[in-house]
Amino acid sequence: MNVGAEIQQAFVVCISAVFTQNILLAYFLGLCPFIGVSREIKTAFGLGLAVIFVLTATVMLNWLAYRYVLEPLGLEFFRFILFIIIIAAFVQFTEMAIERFSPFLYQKLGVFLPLITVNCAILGASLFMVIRNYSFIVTIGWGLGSGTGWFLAIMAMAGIRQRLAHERIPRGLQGPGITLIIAGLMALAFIGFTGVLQGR
Amino acid sequence: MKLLLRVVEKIRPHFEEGGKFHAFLPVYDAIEHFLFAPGTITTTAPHVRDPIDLKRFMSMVIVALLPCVATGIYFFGLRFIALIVVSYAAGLSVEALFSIVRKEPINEGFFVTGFLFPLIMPPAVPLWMVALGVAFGVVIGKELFGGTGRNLFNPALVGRCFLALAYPVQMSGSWLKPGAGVAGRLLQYVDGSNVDAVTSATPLALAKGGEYVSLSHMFVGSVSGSVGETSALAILAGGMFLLLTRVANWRTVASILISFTALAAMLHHAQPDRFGPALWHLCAGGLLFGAFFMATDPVTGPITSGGKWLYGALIGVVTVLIRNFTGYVEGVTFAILLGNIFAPILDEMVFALRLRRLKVEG
Amino acid sequence: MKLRGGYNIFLQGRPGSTIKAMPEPKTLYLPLSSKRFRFSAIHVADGQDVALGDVLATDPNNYDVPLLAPRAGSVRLGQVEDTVVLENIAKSQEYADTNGRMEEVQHVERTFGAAGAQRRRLMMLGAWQFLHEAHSGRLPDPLGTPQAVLVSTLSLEPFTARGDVQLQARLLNFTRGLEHLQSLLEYQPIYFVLPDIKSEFASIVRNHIRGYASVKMVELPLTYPYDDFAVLARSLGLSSGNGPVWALRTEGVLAVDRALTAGKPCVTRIISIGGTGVVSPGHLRVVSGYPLKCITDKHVFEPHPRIINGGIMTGEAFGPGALGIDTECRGITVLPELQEREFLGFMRPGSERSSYWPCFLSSMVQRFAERLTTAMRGERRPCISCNACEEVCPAGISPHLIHKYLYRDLVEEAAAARVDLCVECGLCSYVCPSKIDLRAQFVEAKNGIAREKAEMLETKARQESTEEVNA
Repeated sequence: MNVGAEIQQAFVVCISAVFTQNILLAYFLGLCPFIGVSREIKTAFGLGLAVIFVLTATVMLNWLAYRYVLEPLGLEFFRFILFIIIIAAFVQFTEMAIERFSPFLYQKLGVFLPLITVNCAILGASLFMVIRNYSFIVTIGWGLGSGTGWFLAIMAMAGIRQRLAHERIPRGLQGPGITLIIAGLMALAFIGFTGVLQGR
Repeated sequence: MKLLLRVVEKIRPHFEEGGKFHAFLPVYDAIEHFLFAPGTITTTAPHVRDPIDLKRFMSMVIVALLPCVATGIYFFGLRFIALIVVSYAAGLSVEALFSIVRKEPINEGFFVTGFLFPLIMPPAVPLWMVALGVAFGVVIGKELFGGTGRNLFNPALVGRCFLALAYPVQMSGSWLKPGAGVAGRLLQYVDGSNVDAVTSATPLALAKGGEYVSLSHMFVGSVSGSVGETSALAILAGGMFLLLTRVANWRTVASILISFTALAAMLHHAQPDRFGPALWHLCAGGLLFGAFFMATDPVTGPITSGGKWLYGALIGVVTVLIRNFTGYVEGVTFAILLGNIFAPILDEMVFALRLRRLKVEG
Repeated sequence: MKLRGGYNIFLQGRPGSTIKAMPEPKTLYLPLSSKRFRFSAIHVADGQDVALGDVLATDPNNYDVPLLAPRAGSVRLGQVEDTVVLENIAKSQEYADTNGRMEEVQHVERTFGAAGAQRRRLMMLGAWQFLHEAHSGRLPDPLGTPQAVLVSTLSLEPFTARGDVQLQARLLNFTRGLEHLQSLLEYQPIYFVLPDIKSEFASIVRNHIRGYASVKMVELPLTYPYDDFAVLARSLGLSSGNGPVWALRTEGVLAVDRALTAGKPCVTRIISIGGTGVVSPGHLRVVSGYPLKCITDKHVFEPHPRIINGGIMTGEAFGPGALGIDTECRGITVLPELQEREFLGFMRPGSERSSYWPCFLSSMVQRFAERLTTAMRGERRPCISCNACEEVCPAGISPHLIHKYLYRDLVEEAAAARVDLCVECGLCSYVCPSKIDLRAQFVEAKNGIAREKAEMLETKARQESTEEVNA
C-alpha cells in the first residue's frame, strides 16, 4: 500500500483504538494498575503517560523484532517470549528515566511502575498488532491510540474516585469493589461507540 | 389539619428509639414531612432561611414533566400509568430498604428518578422489566455510591442502558403506534399482546433505511418512540418551565443543543443523502428529553459553569456520532453516561484554572 | 469596581426613620465581651464612684481600647457574670476630669506628633472603637499607617442602624468628621461610599468639604452585602498586602467629630430595633449598657421572640444572661420563633413567599407579604451542587465545594480553595435548598486554620529562640 493510504488507516485505527476498541473498557486488558493507581488524579496522570510511552515504543520495537528477526527465522511462535523480554527491558529503561527526572512520581507509583511490564494491555497491543497484520505506520497509530485510550480510562476513573473519596460506600465494596463496578458502568457507556470508525 | 398533626405526633414515639417500629423511622419521616413542613428552627446566623427546600425543587421537575406525561397517555394509552406505578413501587421499596439499613431519611431525589424512568421506556415493555430496570438503576447507579447527592451516573439512564443491552429484543420490539384523533389512546390500555398496535419502526430506525417521517408529526409527537420523548412540543414547554425556575442550568441545555445542531448540520451539508437534516434530528429520538431533563441533573453533571459548557458539547457531539456512525439508532443514553464519566475530570480542569486565579486575590 | 453575587432579602420590619430617645436608666449593665473586644483588664474597684467618660476596663489584645462609663454612678463588680454594673446613676451628668490627662496627651504629642496625639484622643474618648481594619475586621493599630480609608454611609444588612437615619440633622458633624479624618492622614485617599453620586446629599457633602478634605466618592448598588468592608476593599483593588485599610461607618465619622471637635466622650449610640417581631420598627438613642429588658418591654410584644444582637444575617442571639447592650451593638432584631407547621407546605403555590429561586408564584406577582420567622423551612439534605451559593457569594469562592471538602475533613484542600476569603455574610446558608449551615461551617474552619497557623508560628518562634540560646 502506498504511504498515504497507510497514514489514513493509521489515523482511523488510532481513533478507533481510543473510543471504539478501548483496550481497557472494551477488551478489559490492563485492569490491575487501573484499579490500583486510580485513586488520585496526579498519579493516574503520571502512570497514564508512562503507559502511552511504553506501549507505543514497545509496539514499534516488537513489530521490528517480529518482522526482521522472528519471521525470517520462522520462529513466529516465539513471539510471546520475545515480546515480554523486549517490554521488560524497555520498562526498566523507563523506570530509570522516571527515577532520574521525577523522584516524586517514582515514589508515588511505587511497585506499579515495574508492574507495567506485566500490564496485559502492553503485551495485548503487540499481539493484536501481529494478528491484524498492521504495517509499521499503522502500528504507530495503533500504539498511540491504545495508550491514549488506556490513559483516558484511567484519568476518568481517577476523577470519579477522587470525587467519591470518603463517601459512604458499603464497607465490603470500598476500594477495588466499587472501582470494578464503576469500570463496568464505564464499559457499558463505551459500548455505545461500537461501529464508530471501526478500524480493522 | 390540627387534628391530623396531633395524630401524626401521637404515633411518633412508636418510631423513635426504643419504639416498636424504630427501624421504619425513615418511612415515617418521609410521610410526616410530606404532610407537614418541618418544625426545625435556625440556631445560628443567618436567622432566616429562604422558603425553598429540596421537596419544592424536585416538585418543579415533576411539574415540568407533566406535559410529557399528558402526551404520553394521549398517544400510548393508560398502560403508561401502570409503568409509573410499577416504577415507583419497585424504586421506593429499594430506597426504603437502603434508608432503613443506613438509618437515614429517604431522600426526595427518587421521586424524580421514578417519574423519569417510565418516560424513557418503550410503552409496551413488560412490567417486570420496568421493575428490574428501576431496581438496577437505583441500586447500582445510586445507592452503592452513597445515596442521593453522591451518585455519579444518572440512575434512570443506568437502568435503561442495562435493559437496552441485556434485553435488546424486548426493548426494540415494544414500540407502539401512536394513537390518533380527539381521544387518542386516552381510554385504551395497549400492551405487547395487541399485535396491531405494536411496531418496531421508530423515526430513527426508519431513517437508517432512508425514510424520514415528517417534521410536523415529530414536533407534535404522533410518532412511535419512548413514552416521554416523542413530543418535542411538550418537552419544550416543560423544559422552558424548568429553565425559568432555574432548576435546570441553561448552560448545559444550550451547549447540548448548539453542539448537536452544529455537528448535525455540518454532516448534512457534507453528505445530504446519508445524514438527515439537523432540525429533524433535533426532534427525533430522545435528544430534547435528554438535554432538558436528564443531562441537567445537578448531581451527576459538572458543578462548574465552564465544565457545563464542555459537558454539553461532549454529549451533543457523541450523540451525533453514535446516531450516524454506529449500528445503534439512539445515542443519547450512551452520550449522557459518557458525559457523567468525564464530568469529574472536566471539573478538575476548571478548578485548577480558577484556583490559579484565586491565588492572586485578596 | 468588581462586585459579585449579593442578594437583597425582601422582608417586613425595616426600621423607620424616627429616632426615639429611651428614658434614662436606673442601672446600666456593661458586658465585658463583645464581638471583637474582650475587656479583661479592669481598672475600677467594686463600689468605686465613676464619672461619665471614666475608663472602666481596657482590652489588652486590642491596643488597650477602653470601655468608658456612659453615665456617672457606682461600680458593682461580680454581681453579674462578665459584666460591669453601674448603679445609682447620677441625675446630673458630670464629665470625667480630663485635665489630668492633658499631660499624657502632651507627652504623646511630643513623641508622636500632632497626628499621633489626635489618634490618642480618639482612643481615649471612645471613638477609635468604631474603626475596623477592612480585610481582617479587627481594630486597626492607632499608630499604624493605612493605605486608604473607607467611609460607608450604607448599612445594607437587615436590620442594622441605617446610615441615612443617623445623618439626620447631623450633616455638619459628618463633614467635620471627614475633615478630621483627612487631617489624620498624609496623602492616603478617603473613599466615600454612597448610593447615588448625583444626589443632593452628595453635592452638599462635596460643597462642605471643598478645600478641607479630598474625598473620592464611590457609587455602590444597594445590594447586600456590598457594604461589607472586606468586599469593598477588594472591589476597590486595595489588596491586604499593601497595608491596613481603615473602614468606618456613619456612626464612626460622627464619633470622630464628637471626639476631636467637642472633646467629649462618645457614649451615646443610635441603634435600630427592627424585625417582624416588633410592632413599629424604628431607631433608638441609647447608651451602651442600657438594660435590654427596658427596650424589650417597650417594643416587643411577641409571645415567643428571638432577640438578636445585630442583623438577621450575621447577628447572634442574646443569651439568657445578657442584660445590657454591648459597646459594638448596631441594632436589635426581633424575630418570632416558628409556631405552626404548614400542611403540605412544599406544595403551596407560594404567592406571598419571596425567594431567591423563582419557584414560587411570588416571583411573578412580586408581592412579599410574608412574616418571616426563624423556621428552617426544609429538612437537612445532602448537597446537590445546585450552585446557588456560588452565584450569591460576594467573595467569589465556591461554598459547595468547600463544604464537600470540610464534610470529608480535608481542611487543607478547603484552605487551598480560599475559605479565608469568606466574609461571613450568610447568603450561602440563606439560599441553600438542602438547608446546610454553610456559614457556621466556614467560621469554624477559618478559626481552626487560624489556630493551627498561630500554633505553627509559636512552635517556630520557640524553636528559633532555643536555637539562639544554643548558638
